[in-house]
Amino acid sequence: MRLVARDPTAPSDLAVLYLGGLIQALRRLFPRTDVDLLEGIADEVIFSVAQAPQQYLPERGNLATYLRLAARRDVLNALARERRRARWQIPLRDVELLQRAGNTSQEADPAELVSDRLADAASLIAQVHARFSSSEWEIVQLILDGERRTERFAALLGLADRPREEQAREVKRVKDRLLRRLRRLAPLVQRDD
Amino acid sequence: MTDPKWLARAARRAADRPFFLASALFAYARAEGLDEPALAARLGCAVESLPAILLCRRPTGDTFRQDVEQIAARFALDSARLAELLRLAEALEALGTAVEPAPTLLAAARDEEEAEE
Repeated sequence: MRLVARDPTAPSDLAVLYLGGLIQALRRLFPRTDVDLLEGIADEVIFSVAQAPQQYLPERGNLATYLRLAARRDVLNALARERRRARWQIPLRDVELLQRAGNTSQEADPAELVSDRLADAASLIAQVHARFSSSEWEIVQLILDGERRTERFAALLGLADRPREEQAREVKRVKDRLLRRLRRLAPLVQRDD
Repeated sequence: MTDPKWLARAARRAADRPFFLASALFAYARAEGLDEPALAARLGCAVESLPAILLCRRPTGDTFRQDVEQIAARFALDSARLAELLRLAEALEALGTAVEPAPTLLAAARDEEEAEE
């Protein structure tokens, strides 16, 4: 495989030949999902294979299928992440309010309360997201997913071909820095309105 | 074949990945104040070819010269000019003069860590 042989033009050919088909496949699989999200994930899957081609094992199927399955998994993970984050943003206080509202339906519509809170959550996520570059945000998402494998972070950082010790050092440095920034943002996320 | 607009977007996104040629050539273009057509002109290629060029692996290390020759041959570029632009990009990155968008993630991490020490 030209990618494994480090042919410098191979990543370009990979994108030219497979990116379009991958985006179209994701659009068919997830017709109601944000197109930007799907296109971004398609890009990332192509980048990931370009940078770490050994993750693809030809004996297990053709490359188009591998890319589609990897992208589908990443979209499902992204959607699950967003759902989890939205749920975290509903404080217990509102759950109690919802329970009371169920008994006195004139006071508040539970569906509206949930909807409002989800809108707030989405806004908060967007505010936090805006403070990171796209590549930083990918690292943050991997951290939030509980990913611990250095090679996943190293691939995102373009360090796949560096020695493992160097990968570990650089990955730790980037993760520590992002975690410090996330901690500084805690007051924004934990505001009590 | 991939729609050119998807390829162009992917190439821009690749700019913050040191693995891709986009990271070097966009850094150079930013420092020189070049837009994409101007960068294509500087490289001596059609603007339509630019995304595919930017999505090549960035030449590095011992294979730098060979990588440059291979990319140049594939896209009918002047290899000496491509090598010159890449060396300039490297120098700009080393000097930290590449302007917004921000320096690479790794460089930013180093800067912040040094500032906190």
